[in-house]
Amino acid sequence: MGLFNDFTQIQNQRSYRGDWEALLKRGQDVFSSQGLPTRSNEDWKYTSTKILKDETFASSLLATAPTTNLQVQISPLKTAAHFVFVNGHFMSNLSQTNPSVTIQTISQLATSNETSLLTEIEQLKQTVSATSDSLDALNEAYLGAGLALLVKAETKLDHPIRLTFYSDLFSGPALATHPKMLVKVGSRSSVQVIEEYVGQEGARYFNNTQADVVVEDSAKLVHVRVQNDSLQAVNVGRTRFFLKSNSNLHVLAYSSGARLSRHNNDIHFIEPGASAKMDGLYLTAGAQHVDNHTFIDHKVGNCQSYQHYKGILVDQSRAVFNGRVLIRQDSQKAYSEQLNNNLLLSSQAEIDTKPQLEIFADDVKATHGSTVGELNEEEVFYLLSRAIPRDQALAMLSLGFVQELVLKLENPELETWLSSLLTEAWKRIRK
Amino acid sequence: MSDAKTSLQDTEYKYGFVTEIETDAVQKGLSEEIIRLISKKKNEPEWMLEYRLKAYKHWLTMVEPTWAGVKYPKIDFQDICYYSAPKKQSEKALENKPQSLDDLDPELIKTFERLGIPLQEQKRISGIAVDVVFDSVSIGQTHTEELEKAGVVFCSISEALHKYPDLVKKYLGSVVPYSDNYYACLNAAVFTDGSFCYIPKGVRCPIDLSTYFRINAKDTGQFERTLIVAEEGSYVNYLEGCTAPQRDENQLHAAVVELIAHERAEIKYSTVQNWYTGDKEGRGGIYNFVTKRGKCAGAHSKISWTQVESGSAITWKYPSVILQGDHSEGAFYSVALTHDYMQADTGTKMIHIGKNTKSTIISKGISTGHSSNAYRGLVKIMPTAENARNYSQCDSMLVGDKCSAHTFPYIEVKNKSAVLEHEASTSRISEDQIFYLQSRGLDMESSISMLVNGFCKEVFKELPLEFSVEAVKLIEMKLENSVG
Repeated sequence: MGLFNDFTQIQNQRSYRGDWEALLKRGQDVFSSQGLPTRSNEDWKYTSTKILKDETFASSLLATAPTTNLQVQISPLKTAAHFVFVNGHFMSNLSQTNPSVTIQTISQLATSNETSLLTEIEQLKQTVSATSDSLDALNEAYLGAGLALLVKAETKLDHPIRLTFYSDLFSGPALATHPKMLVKVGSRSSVQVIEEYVGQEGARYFNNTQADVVVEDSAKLVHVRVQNDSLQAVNVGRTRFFLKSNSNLHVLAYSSGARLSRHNNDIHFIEPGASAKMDGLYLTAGAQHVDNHTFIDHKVGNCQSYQHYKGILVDQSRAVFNGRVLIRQDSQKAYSEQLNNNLLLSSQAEIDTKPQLEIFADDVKATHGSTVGELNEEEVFYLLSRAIPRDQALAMLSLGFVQELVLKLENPELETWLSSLLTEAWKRIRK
Repeated sequence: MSDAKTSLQDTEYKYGFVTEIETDAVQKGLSEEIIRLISKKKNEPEWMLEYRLKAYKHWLTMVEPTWAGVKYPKIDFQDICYYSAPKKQSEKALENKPQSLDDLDPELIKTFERLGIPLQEQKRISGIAVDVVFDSVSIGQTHTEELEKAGVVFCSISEALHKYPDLVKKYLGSVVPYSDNYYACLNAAVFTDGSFCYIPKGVRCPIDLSTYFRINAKDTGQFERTLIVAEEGSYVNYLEGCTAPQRDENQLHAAVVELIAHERAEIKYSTVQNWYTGDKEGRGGIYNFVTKRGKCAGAHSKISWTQVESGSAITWKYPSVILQGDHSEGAFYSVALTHDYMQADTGTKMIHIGKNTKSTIISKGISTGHSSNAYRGLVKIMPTAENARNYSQCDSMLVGDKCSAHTFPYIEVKNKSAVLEHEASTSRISEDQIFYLQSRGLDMESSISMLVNGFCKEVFKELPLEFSVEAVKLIEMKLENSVG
């Protein structure tokens, strides 16, 4: 057992109050009774949590905070605000603030018993009967890392707000960090948020992330989740969005790091008129395992969702895609599209994909599709016949295949940044 | 369009009658004794009894599956009668005499006439050989002579156990082992009858074969077993139909169908399933929990499943194909229509093992009333399946705002040369389409019926002609009164 039982130590060390203390207790109770999910659980059919059981993790909350002169190796990007966590600890000296954005760390909120955003989100979760599993409970059981972020109404930022969770080569035991993010994007504002997980190469750690994002009416949010953890790390997480009337969301979930990665991406339409694009990219090699579970909940009518996940797999890596779309009763005029395309570049790679539609309203349109295949030899030949070396031809075709989703962001800065991440990832997986 | 939303309230189930016939039934309940009794009544060889008991012991260790998206009260397996046979028949079975249709109880013959299968007629005129299974036993086959001439064996499985024990022993449980799943295991323990069909090497079965299943007696479960073996280069077209009387209680039907296609053999299996669906409030009806699986054992073999599922309170079946032989092909064509409180969870599994194997899945679901209709399928490409190809298409149509439609396609690919495409869509009949047809003088009912039939056409065209006509009629009948 990966030592997820030092709960009393957490409780003794932290003096959380009111609802926050209740949340911590709830998480500890639920996790103690359920334990890590097993493959007999339908949602974990293709993904084993065995490595979490085999390895011993120490809570990063109990570990010593990193020194302030630490250098964080992340790819540069112009930002409107930047908040950096290293091994779960907030580094104010590395962070950059913005007057339109207020932040408070979870520990600050919990010790001062400031609950307004927490209560709002917990209520929303209840109204949509949000799905959660024992890893969400584990996140709460180790409550402490992360932050609450409020974007004021009518804020327009030219550059993204970047949240970086960095893990370095910690000298002690492998660390487990359970960041929690509560985000609210005010009415009529338009911002980009980057939720980023990066690790120093060779670092062994476990990130179990949870982000709840409320997009207020008529707001526009571009949310990019980048999972570029070290290849020895494990990253599991859930991002949950609540979309209010006429809001607009474009989310891109990118996974290339970690030996085991699992991301739950949930969108709940809670007021009519909203629309969401949910895209995902994954590039894996070696023995990597990447699992993407998406859930689009058309709780109310007149909302549109467009989903597209694409992945490239080499070596004996394995990808899982499970896309669930639920159109509830009376959610009339809902529109939903879903597509999953996979490129297998090695004979040992494996893909398990399951697009899933559950429809309880009749005046709706919903489609889904998925494809699996290798590169088209004719396309490769076309490039070869134009004197492009094979390696380069493969790179052009494969990167072109995934870059489509980056271009959809229609944001040159993010495009350049993500394209460089893709190129790096491609170099790594092709070795 | 609001008219179209009224559920299929008044659709009469025209096969809901009960035949007053004396039956020989064992007491309710399931135990080793009952299994021994069934085996004894059927005068089975020792190894068959052993197989049954082995299955029963394994079944006791299993738990009822709950993963399917269907809801029903827990089944009391001790409250089911596992053997019921029309009296005259069962005496015959004991004496193990060859059965001829002329010996049948006249009541029984009338029943089948009402069902639209005049056995006497069929015997002479129509081009289909029929095996009729009434409750637990097979009551007669037609066209035996013609089949014998071709060397085709078509008889009840009980008869086959006596006449061709080696064949049955070799193939029974070879595709669906007794330990496969909860209901298949129960079936292996208590199955009472079913059809056996053997097509020798190189024979193209001269006529279509057909089985007709009927559950008559109260509190009876029907556990039939069908086994079809197509030897090298042979071909057979097999049809299956089912009905049951209208009763307030639920009745269980847990059948197992196994198909084996050797090199270059082809089996086409078509089902029109019209078990009693329960009444408008969802009371009664058949639980249709069926395991159907075919194995393309040899190279270039083909198996296709075509089904029209329009009956049963709950349908839970996944006709599957194991594509073992190189270049083998599997196909699944399905129309599932649900109304009132029916629940259907159906789909297929295509397991690609051999090289250059190909599979096609076309599934059409139509939900009306308060019903729920799900497609659940698996396409699995094993590492050995070089150049496997799959095409899947699952379309759902919703009529009314109280029904639901779901798709759960599982795709597992372990070979990079595989090419897979899956697509699905859900929509309702558009008001434009209705308006277009109505403006041409069709009434609402005919318009909907025409649109639904058009929606299902891709599947209906795979059915043999007589079945295709029956299917179109059946869908029309079910859709009757679905509109104001």
